[in-house]
Amino acid sequence: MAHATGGRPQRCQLSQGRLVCWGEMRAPGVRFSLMLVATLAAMSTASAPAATVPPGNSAADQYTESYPGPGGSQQVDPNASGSPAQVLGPENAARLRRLGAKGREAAALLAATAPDGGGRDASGLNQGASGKGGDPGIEDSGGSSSLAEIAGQATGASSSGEMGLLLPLVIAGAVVASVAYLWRRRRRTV
Amino acid sequence: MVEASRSRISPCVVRLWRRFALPALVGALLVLVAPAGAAARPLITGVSGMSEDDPIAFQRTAAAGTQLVDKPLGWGSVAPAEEPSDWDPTDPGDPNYNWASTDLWVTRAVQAGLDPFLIVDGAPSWAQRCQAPAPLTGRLCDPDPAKLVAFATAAARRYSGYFQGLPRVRFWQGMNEPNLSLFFNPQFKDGRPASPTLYRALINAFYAAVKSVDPSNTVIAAGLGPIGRGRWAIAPMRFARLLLCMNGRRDPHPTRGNCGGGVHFDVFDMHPYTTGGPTHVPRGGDDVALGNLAKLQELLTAADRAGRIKGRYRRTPLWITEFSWDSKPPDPGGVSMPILARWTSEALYQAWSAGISRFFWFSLRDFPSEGAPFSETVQSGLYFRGPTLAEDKPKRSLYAFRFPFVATSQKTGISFWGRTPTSSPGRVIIQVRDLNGWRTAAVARANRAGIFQGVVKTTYGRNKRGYVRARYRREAAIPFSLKPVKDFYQPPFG
Repeated sequence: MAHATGGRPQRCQLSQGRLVCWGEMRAPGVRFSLMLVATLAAMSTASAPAATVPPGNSAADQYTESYPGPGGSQQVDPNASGSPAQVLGPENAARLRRLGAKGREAAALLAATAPDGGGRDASGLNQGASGKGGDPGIEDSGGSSSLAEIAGQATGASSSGEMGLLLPLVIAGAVVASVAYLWRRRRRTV
Repeated sequence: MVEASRSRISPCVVRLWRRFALPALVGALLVLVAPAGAAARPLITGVSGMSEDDPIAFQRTAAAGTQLVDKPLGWGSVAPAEEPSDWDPTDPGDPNYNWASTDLWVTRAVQAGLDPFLIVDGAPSWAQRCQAPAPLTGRLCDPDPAKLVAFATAAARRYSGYFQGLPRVRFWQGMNEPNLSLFFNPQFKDGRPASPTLYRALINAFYAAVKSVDPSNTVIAAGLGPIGRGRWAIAPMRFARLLLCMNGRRDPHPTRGNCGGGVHFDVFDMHPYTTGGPTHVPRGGDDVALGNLAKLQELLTAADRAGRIKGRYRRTPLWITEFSWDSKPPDPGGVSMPILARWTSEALYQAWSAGISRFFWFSLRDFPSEGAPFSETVQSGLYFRGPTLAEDKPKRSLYAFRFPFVATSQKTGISFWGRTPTSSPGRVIIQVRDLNGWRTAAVARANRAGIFQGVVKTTYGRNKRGYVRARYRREAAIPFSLKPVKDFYQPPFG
């Protein structure tokens, strides 16, 4: 990635016997912060797999590991016909039903788009993918619980190798640090 | 000589010389190669998916340092489309069979000095007991074991070495990747895995048929795909456990009962394609890639101990009859050539370390893309596909496959492993590259399987820089960089 600096007008002023140019990014702290932001932004693109392989039966699919998409590591079956009570659990389904037509619509949508086996978790009947009679739609998650997976994603400790919530936090931190540094420096020089 | 020339060379070069080459030279004087050939365990290679019957293709396969070549024997294409009312399906000479292309292929393979290996795959529609539903229409669905017995008997008789002057085929595999819906259906019935049980009946029938013709034939089972994928594919460890009536992910043990008398095969086969480099370990607990073959070995050992496997060997061998990555070029999503060459050597080492004795590369030449996306086609050949077979061009990875060599920098020196191109014994020279070119650092001895390994006590490469190579007779292996390449996301087919 080329950095173009030529041709851009630089605003300079003499300050405490030193020429300070805003266009030059002389301050190492600012440069470091911006580099960090750029690097992390690039990493966020690079660390994500180029394509999340959808469930299917093509040659490419059946030889390539899938990485979690928005639906998690479980796959959504568009033909699933589980009832809201099965998917959400009886209590949650009843609560949504009580909200009227909108609630019923939401429950139906959730039931239609739930990953395979989602209802079993809710109803406490999860038998595990490798257990006898396990649902074919559920593949083993490698033994980590949902809570552990969420914590892993949030802290960046996920085994997927992605940075989870940590990445935006670091970027935000770097931006705040840069702005604070610039602000402090500006106050000193003015 | 160095002093004399110093005045003519730049100080930078002198610094480099002092920093890298001189310590290496001193190190080389103190070279200590660990006794090579401690293990005579072989690594015999092959090429799979070789459908060409042109003699050039077989010559090139043999020239890749291989001894084996495999091809699917399509039951559906050899047998008639409609089942004749009056025929003998166990008779290899029955006029309803069409063996012409297989006869030619087997004959030419043997002429080129290769051991042919046939994978009985597919089935005519009349031998299938169901039809795969969309989108799998036309895929193999529950072949009838009794009908497979008849066909396998005919095939084994035809290539027994005693039929119409045709050569003998010793290696027979029953079906391909039965854990993938691409090749075997149904995978599940009423929500429960079905393919392992169906496959058990098939492989037992196949074993009986092939062994009835010649007990010295080798029957290979499974050839499992690497990944579990919802309702489309059962993860290989799960499939293997169900097939062998075993339980327990961490501590495999037999289930109750006698598993219907056990599972009959001599060799278990795995296709451990990875979604990364050679050491990549898949996320799925029951998935198997090149980087975690040990757990499959552990399961096989436990199954052997429990008497589940009824084969020729006390310890059932695990083979890899398919493995590869697509290359870039031509596949833009493939592995770049320098990394592919490195990974090819590393894959062979990884397999050998995991106890694999037979390793097949898929395949000899890139497949034609014919307008399909590159991710859906295979560009993992050892040769770039040209307009004709004769115009194919070798890939750099071909040389790594023929003469695999890996080296790593360690505290004690440079650790190395390799296999001679012809799998033959002899003297192997280990060389390091410095400013003056290649310099001998050690001499190793390849064992009778052509395997050589050891450690060169040297300071060269301590900073993870530099190149090492092996020389055997007049041939040099692809130089191996001491700079490690980290694992990254890489679909096997780009």
